[in-house]
Amino acid sequence: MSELLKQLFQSGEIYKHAWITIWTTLLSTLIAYLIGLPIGVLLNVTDKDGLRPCVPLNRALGLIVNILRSMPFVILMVAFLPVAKFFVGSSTGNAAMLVMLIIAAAPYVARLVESSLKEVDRGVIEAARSMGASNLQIIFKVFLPEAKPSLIVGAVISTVTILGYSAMASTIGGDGLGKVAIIYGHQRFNEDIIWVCVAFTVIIVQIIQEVGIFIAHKTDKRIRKIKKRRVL
Amino acid sequence: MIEFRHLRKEYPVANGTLVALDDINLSIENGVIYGIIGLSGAGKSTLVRCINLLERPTEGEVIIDGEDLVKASGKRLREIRRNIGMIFQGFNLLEQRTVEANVRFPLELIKTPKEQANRRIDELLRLVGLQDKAKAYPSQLSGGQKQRVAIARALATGPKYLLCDEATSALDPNTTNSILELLKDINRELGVTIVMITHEMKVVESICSYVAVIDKSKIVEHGKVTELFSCPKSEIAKELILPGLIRSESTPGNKLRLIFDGSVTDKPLISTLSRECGVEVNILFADTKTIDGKIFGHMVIAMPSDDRAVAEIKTFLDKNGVTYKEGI
Ligand SMILES: Nc1ncnc2c1ncn2[C@@H]1O[C@H](COP(=O)(O)OP(=O)(O)OP(=O)(O)O)[C@@H](O)[C@H]1O
Ligand SMILES: [Mg+2]
Repeated sequence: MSELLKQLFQSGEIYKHAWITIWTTLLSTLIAYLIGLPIGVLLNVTDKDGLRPCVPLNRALGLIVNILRSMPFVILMVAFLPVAKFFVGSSTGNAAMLVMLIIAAAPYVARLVESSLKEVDRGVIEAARSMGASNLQIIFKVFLPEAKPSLIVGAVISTVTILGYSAMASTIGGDGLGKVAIIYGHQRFNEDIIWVCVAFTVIIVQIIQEVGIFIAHKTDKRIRKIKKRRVL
Repeated sequence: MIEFRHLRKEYPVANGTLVALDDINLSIENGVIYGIIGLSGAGKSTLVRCINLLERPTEGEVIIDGEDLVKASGKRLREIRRNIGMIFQGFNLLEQRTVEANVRFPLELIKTPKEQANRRIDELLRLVGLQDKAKAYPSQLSGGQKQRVAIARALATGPKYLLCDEATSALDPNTTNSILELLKDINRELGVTIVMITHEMKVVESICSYVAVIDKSKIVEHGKVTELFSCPKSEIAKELILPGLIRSESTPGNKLRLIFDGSVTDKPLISTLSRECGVEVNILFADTKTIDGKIFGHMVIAMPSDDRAVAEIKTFLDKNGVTYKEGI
């Protein structure tokens, strides 16, 4: 065991960074969900065979989402530095990292939400329409509740993805396990530090996944429940 | 009353347009059970979906109680839809809601006070015989039970009309009969006008009083079920009543179709016929059932070549009040 690793444990530094990884991930996923959910709903609703087709809006939204989705996170961070500066007054540090994670995750969430809503049986939507439901009522009383298990699974997938992104955020000075692994581990040739970070990450991912899937299963009232395989 | 006037529905398809409904004119009187029958792809679902404007007609009018729905605003249309319940082949229940919450759904849409909604739900579940399943989820129910939930839900807002699109097609014969009985009760006791879409003559025969036959996007004949059944005019109606094989030339000789509309009581008719007329009667096809001691359905028998025997058979049938039709 390297000296530096011992020091990291003794000073509690490693736990501090693990904790930062957890909360930045959860917080940015939460905010990304708040932004991505309505966009995903909008994408679904304005689709050409959606509730209220509006092809131009759908195309425009889809294009923005696709551009952001196809940008590698490292490049996205560099490209959006001014945006972080605008929102949090700085283009480095944890606050900037949060902004980056949200920018990267929101479009991802939007696509996941869109596809979750697509799984809702068209027949059920039809039935709701036949009962005189308005589009808003269909969104809030049919689409979202019926897709709930799938939406929860989507949230788990996004959380895990964002956790992966957050490791890269050390490039713009964000704290967390990524920083520990790169700065203390890689750059100072302490391989054991890298592996300790890997172990921490694996444990965090496992916990998020198990808890998330458990909740998704619990809420699902169908017999053939949503599958765990989808995440892995 | 539901009326269609010069209704036309086109769908844009890859190589032009597909005409799913062509110049449909039809009136459905209040209080009846009206069957709409046709083969797959004839346009039945499209037609029934035009009644509540789930499908917007390309041309023509859909008039319900004197109001043309095509001209109604979005808000007005949603109001009208609450007066038209609908059930489907696939049940279309909300899978994440209990039976009770499914029936509550249409009441939630119009913000019915909780107490009042609870009472209504109780009433409806009793009507369809599912009080004990109130807390169950759809995935825990059989097909027949799911359709009962769907019926309760469709009736929640007290509609005057009920549309059924192949409501029994996914069910076994026994369950089908129990659902049909329930629909009959609903029609009789609540006075709900029912429009039944089906591809099975049996369904029409057992509960409808009027029927329209739709073939290749057009209505080819319509009227009383008894009339259609005793003398179908269109090829397609004949086909739906009797399988083609029996009508075909593969069984030569003269045939007679006996039609039982419930006016004959259950008795060993054919053996009596054989004995009294002194002829051997060959039954080519039979599809009859006895309800409350009365015979319903029809039967095809081969006729002897001897003219005198034929006359005797006819006299016997007339005497016993059996309707019959020569040459099917
Ligand atoms: N949304 C659609 N787009 C294009 N064509 C359609 C659409 N819906 C129906 N059609 C076509 O219209 C015709 C009539 O369809 P419809 O569903 O009314 O038939 P149906 O009589 O109900 O048949 P089935 O007994 O199989 O349900 C079919 O040829 C079908 O392919
Ligand atoms: Mg159909």
